[in-house]
Parts: sequence; structure tokens; C-alpha cells
Amino acid sequence: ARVGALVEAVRGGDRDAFGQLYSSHAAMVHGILLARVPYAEVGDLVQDVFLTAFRKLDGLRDAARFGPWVAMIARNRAMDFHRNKRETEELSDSFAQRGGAHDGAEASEALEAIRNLPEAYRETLVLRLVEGMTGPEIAARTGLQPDSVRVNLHRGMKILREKLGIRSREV
Amino acid sequence: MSDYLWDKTGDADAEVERLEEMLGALRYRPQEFELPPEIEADKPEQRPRSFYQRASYARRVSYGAAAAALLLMLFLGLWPGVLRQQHSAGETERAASQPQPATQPPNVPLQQASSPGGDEQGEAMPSRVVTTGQVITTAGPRPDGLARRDGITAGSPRRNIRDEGRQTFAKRLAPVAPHERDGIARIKTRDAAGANLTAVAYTAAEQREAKSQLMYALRLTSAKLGEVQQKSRTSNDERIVPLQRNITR
Repeated sequence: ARVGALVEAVRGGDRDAFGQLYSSHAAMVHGILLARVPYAEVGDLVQDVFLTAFRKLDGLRDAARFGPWVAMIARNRAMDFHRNKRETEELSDSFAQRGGAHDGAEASEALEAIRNLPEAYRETLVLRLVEGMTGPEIAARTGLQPDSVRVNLHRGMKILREKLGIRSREV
Repeated sequence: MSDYLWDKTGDADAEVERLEEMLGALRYRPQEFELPPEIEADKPEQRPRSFYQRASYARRVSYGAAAAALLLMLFLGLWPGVLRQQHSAGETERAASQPQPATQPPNVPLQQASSPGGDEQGEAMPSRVVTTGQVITTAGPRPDGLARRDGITAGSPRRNIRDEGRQTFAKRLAPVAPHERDGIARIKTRDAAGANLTAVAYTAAEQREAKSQLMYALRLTSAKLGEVQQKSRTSNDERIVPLQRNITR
């Protein structure tokens, strides 16, 4: 109900209300993009997604479903990115600038393993493990059914354990 | 039931915790978001939206389904009629190709009642009862003792009605182009008691018209269903994407 009220306020010309929408949904959009595009591109794409959402806000039929709607915009934006793909720096290089090289390599490997999962598991696990959202929060923000999110989390985690377990044995 | 992976309750899963700590460095860090002043929201369409456009997605789907169901009912109502017409036309053509017994002027009553199982020529008339709308030829005498001849009773008290029916019959045929008269199918029906006599004619043109109406109904149904599908694809309902993802996995 609060999200719906904010959307209506934006439609009425309140641009500050859109800032609140951004604050509450940016982490989700960040996670959705991180599951699909290189880390270095995520920041810019998050801004793009919300600019698009602001411009197209009148196309949102149900104001209360702003979260699932902007999630769809984020996924479409990720697809557009891959269609217009350009050279980007490796994740581990950019991540190494924020933390230790060792941590960067492990995180890079884990994220790569998550990105290689089936799409339904990929996004849910990124939102859970990277963005720190709980299952109910993921369901509420993305519009997925809670049972679906729960199944995706457990199945995805199971496959991820197998992948990471196999890689650690290879190393 | 505790489920740390689901809602972070209960006993922590060591591997999940390790991944959270490792991947948490990639987490989103809150930033200020400022809308550029030159960015404006797209203006809504100027022209007024129709009732259908104003309706919610769910309502539009229900309207489309109701329209499709209505057209399907129309189709089911028309289709048996078309089948009957085609079948009757075929039966009449076959009947017309069979040798016909000798006929008398319609206004002259027959002197002789038909014998059971026979016509004027003494040949046994085929005994077949078909569905309404087709020629009914039955063996055996009429209850009133009058002769049977091509399914038409001669000397019947309803002759005036029959004559009127013929006149009406002729009127119905009048607008038909001469070349279409060759394709006229004459079908006479009689109820179980043999009392009522109805003359109905279906021209080839009428058959084509019924068929074209049926095809129009089908095209309309198809268009409506396509419109509903198009609306669902282009709508902003984000539930479709997650559902599709879940179905494929």
C-alpha cells in the first residue's frame, strides 16, 4: 500500500517520492543485474533502470506492483546490454580494488558458479547471498510466489554446493 | 520449522554463512539518486481510452474469454444447421436420382389408397426414416387411408396449406438467380403422426450464406483470442516472467 501511494505521488508530480521508491528497490535491481551482467556494469545499469522506470511510470497498471514491474525492466535492460555487448574489465580485477586479491578470486568464482545456474535459481540466490534479502522479502519484491522462491533457493543452493565442491577439489 | 537459507532463522548453515560473507562484498551500497531535471515522465495517451483499455488486465482477459465463449456457442449453434443442410442436400439429390413413381396433378385426389408396402406402381417403397428435414418415405398406409405419393398426401385436408406453402415456396425462390435453381433442394418434413406437412427449401445461395456466417464467427473468435494474447504479451504484468522461469525449471 505504501509503494502504491508513492507511485501515485510520483504520478502527481512528486519527484522526491521517486527517491523513496529508488531507496527501497535499488538493492533488488542491483541483485537482478548482478546475476546477469558483469559487476563493473551494474552500477550504471541500476541508474538506467530507474530512469526508465520514471519515464514509463504511467505504463504501470497496478501501482502496488512497482517492485515486480521494475524487476522486469531490470531483466530487460540486462538483455539489452548483452545485445550491445562491449569489452569490460574482469570481475576479479575490479573486485580486487575493493578487497584482497584472494577474496576477490573466491567471490568471483562463487558468483560465476551462481551465474551458470539455471535462470530461476540464479537471481534468487544472488538476492539472498549477495544482497542479503530473506526469502519472504525476495517474494514480496519480485512478485514471485513464496513457495517458488523457497524451492528455487534450496534447489539452487544444492546445485551450487555441488559445483563449488567440485571446483574446490579440482583446485 | 527453521530454515536459515529461507528466512535466516534457526541454526545457521555454515556454507551459506560462508557464501554470504564472501559475496557480501558485492552487495549494493546505497547511493543518492537524483532525477536529472530534464527527465520528464512520458505523457499518457491524449485520446480517451476505451472501456476495454481502461479495464484491468484480468478484466480484459475475462472479457476476451467471454467473447470467445459466446462466439463458440454461436458456432456450435450454426454448425449442426450447416451440416443438416449439406446432408439434406445430398439426400435430396440422391432421392432425385432414383426412379420416381408416376405422379398425378396435385389437385386430383387419388382414387386408390396405397396398399401396405406399395405405391401406385405396386413397387415397395423404401422404408426409411431419416432425421427431420429430409424426405420421409414410409411403407404402410396413412391413418386416414389416403394415398402416399412422394411424401405428399393427395386429397389432404391441408392441401390449401400445402398450396399456400408452394406459393410461399415460389416466393422464396423468386430472388434466386435462374442458374441457381438447378441446385435447389426441396425437403419436406413430417412429424411422427404424419399430420403436419412443411415445405422448406434451401437454396445453394442460402447454404453459402450460412457457411459464410459460420466462417465470419470463427474469424471473429480467432481475432478476439489473438487480441487477448497480444494484450497479455505486451502488458506490464511481471508475473508472467517469473512464472515462465519457474515452469522451465
